[in-house]
Amino acid sequence: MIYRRLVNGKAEEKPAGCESFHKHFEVIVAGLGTAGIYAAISAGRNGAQVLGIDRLSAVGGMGTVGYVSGYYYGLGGGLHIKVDEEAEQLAEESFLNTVEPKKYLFENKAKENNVELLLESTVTGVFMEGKTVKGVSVFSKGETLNFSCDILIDATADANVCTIAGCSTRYGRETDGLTRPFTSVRISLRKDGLLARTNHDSGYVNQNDPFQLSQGILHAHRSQLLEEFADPDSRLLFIAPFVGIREGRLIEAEITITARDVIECKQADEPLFYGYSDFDKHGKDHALESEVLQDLYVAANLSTVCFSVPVTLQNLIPKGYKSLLAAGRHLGVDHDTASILRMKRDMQKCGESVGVCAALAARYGVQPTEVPYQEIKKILEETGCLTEEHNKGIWFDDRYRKEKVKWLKCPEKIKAELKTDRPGIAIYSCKLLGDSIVPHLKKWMEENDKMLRTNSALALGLIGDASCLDTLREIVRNRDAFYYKDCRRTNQLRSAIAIYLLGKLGDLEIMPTLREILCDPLEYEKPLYHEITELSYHFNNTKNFNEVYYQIVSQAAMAVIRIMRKHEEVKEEAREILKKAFEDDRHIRNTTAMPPKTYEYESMENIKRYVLSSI
Amino acid sequence: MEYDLLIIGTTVAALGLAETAGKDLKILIADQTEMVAYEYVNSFKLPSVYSESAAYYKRFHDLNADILLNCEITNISYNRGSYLIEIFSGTEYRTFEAKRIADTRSKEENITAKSLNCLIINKNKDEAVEILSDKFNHDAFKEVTFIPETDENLGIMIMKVSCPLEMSLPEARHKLIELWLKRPERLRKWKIAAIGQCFDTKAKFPYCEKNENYFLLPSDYYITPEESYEAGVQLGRRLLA
Repeated sequence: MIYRRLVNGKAEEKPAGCESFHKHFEVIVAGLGTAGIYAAISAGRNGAQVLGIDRLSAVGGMGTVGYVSGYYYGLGGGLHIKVDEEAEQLAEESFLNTVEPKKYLFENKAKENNVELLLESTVTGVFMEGKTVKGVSVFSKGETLNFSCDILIDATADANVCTIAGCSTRYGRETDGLTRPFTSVRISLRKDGLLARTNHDSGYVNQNDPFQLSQGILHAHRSQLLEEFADPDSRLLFIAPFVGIREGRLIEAEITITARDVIECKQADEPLFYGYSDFDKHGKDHALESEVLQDLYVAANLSTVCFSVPVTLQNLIPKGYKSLLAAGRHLGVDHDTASILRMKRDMQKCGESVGVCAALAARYGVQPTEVPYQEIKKILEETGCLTEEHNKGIWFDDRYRKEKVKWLKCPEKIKAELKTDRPGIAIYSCKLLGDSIVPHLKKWMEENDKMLRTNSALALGLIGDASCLDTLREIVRNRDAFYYKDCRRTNQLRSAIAIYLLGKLGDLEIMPTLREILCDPLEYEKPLYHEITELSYHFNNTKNFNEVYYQIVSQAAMAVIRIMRKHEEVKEEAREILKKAFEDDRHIRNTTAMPPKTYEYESMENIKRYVLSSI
Repeated sequence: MEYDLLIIGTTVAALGLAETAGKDLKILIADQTEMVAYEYVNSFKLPSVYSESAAYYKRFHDLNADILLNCEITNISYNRGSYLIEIFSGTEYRTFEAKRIADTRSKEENITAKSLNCLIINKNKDEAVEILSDKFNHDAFKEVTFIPETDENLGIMIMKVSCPLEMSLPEARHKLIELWLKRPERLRKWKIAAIGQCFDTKAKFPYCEKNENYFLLPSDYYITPEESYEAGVQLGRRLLA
């Protein structure tokens, strides 16, 4: 057995014997946040002797210490239903929200289920035999304690323990390596005596550098002083003492769930639970995301479509490791999918299901993969953590639009939807149909109906057919500010979509127009950036952000890069355009007057940084 | 990395010290939490001070110092006029050297009293006066004190529950909640808005030199953050002299 820890960026391994351990637990859970507390309770409930460790002085993570007491999507079911009901009842009688009742209930339930809690304590090292985890060292109130275990659950949300153990992890998006923006949570007291919670997206930070992360936290919370966040109708009480990080390290799991799997509704044989959400990615810099995501989110304007995603044990096991499971948003997903599989309800179910697997594995003295699935399934079905109803498929699922999404195959149905201002399902269906729908789209492009014509061009662009180019160029040259209405938010402008598709197609003829958008100082004076004619357009004045300008400029910059990569002959011209476009902070200042490091400023700064690093 | 001064705790005294000494000394500030000025802000020690966290975050952000939040100082040793410090943060240990150390937190053995406080709200602002005049002849509430606040629309009070020195924060939170769930009828309409994220503590002494160039400056010794800040400034001036 070896003891492994990381010191000044390097792994340090020393031989260790069993005499090193103070105590044995069947299951150890590192991190008692949204997933971890349920992993601990669930493992205890299924007979395991459990140690739960957290660096904070309370359990529950973002839902308690972070004050994000509500839910955004995810599917209800499992142990959390009862806890939520009890917390609501306590809150109704004695509290203004469920934060403190939940801490109280979690701690009581941990005790009732044979879970020993070690708070204000951090896992600092791991004991291993080969790639099998045997225990952990914990720094707790001034001393280091070593515990052995049958199964270790990393529920730190950032794969901290997996990283110490040497597991492979991934971090951030392919373009610039950044993760989703994080949040500073502000709690205010309204005049009617109720609490109000507001989450402010707070920029981008390298969470793996503790100095940068610390500065990011300080900056995020200091930004609450900005005039843009002032609210005359409530009194600021305090700022939650735990920032909301949406994405950190992700484990390289035995099987990774990709965005393509999600969009294609790939099924799994032995699901533990289903996640459910839209690609809730928060950042406005869509242009820097993967093409798989942008095809759906930008080109088809389907940003708020929700997908159910089956999660199996194979998605929760770090590749090649034994006796180690992950529970939380660091599970085996790609960067795009990390924006779906992170919602609190789902992470609670993730914790619960991992707890069951760990407890049964410990009971039988086997690896979690050797526990009969039917036995796990039975327990998860009993609590409601796993039900067939959770396999919902694809939905528009909000007040604006509530309907099951079915990809279209019939050309007439596609044509009917392409005639509307909500053509997203039809456009993405065309992508899935590919060449077979191309003749129809070409025919529809010749019809008089402008909506049908332009939407058919967008669909052809998404398929990769060059017959749409003239129409797409016309959209961009006219700076067509038509705003689609498929979704309740994050709808796209026709020009931004066309620019994205022209870049994807590597269209050389659009280069002069892209130069104009990026380099002509008069571009910003064009009316579309200042006169919002669409009543449904949620132009975000409060946060001081010109979204129309931002989307068009950011997509234009990325389109130039894509064209440059496809055509060696325009490399110099493209470099010159991009250099000139970003030689100063003009585009940042045309987008926002917010100060550096704010989410709004960073949104354009991210584009600038990526562009300059690409030329 | 080498520093002239390691300040332990993102407290108000640490702020005064860093703002003063940061002009000439290379400083590292380390804290176990991601809170700042918590001994006043997150403890609900004083009326309205808890609302000032954003301003304190700004002042810490603007300091000329390196700051490490969410970290554990796992070891400090002294060698040839310098302290060797081992800090665990995230996934790894990092080692630093510092010529001096100022610890601005209160260790358990240096505290004379502590309470866990919470903020309670009533939609009827006049009921605070009634509660205070009641003097609470209620056994369970003997260890409880109330500090009222003025608000145009609502009744707002800080409720302080005294705790034994050895009591942990989760234990104290349970004590407070169980006390609250059995509160007398007069308090039924009041609701808890938030419970302190740390204890409201009182240190035994204002300042001492623990070892050579190792200072203890417990920020919570002082009643107000202004006094605590000033104590930090004074130590900063001494270090620069």
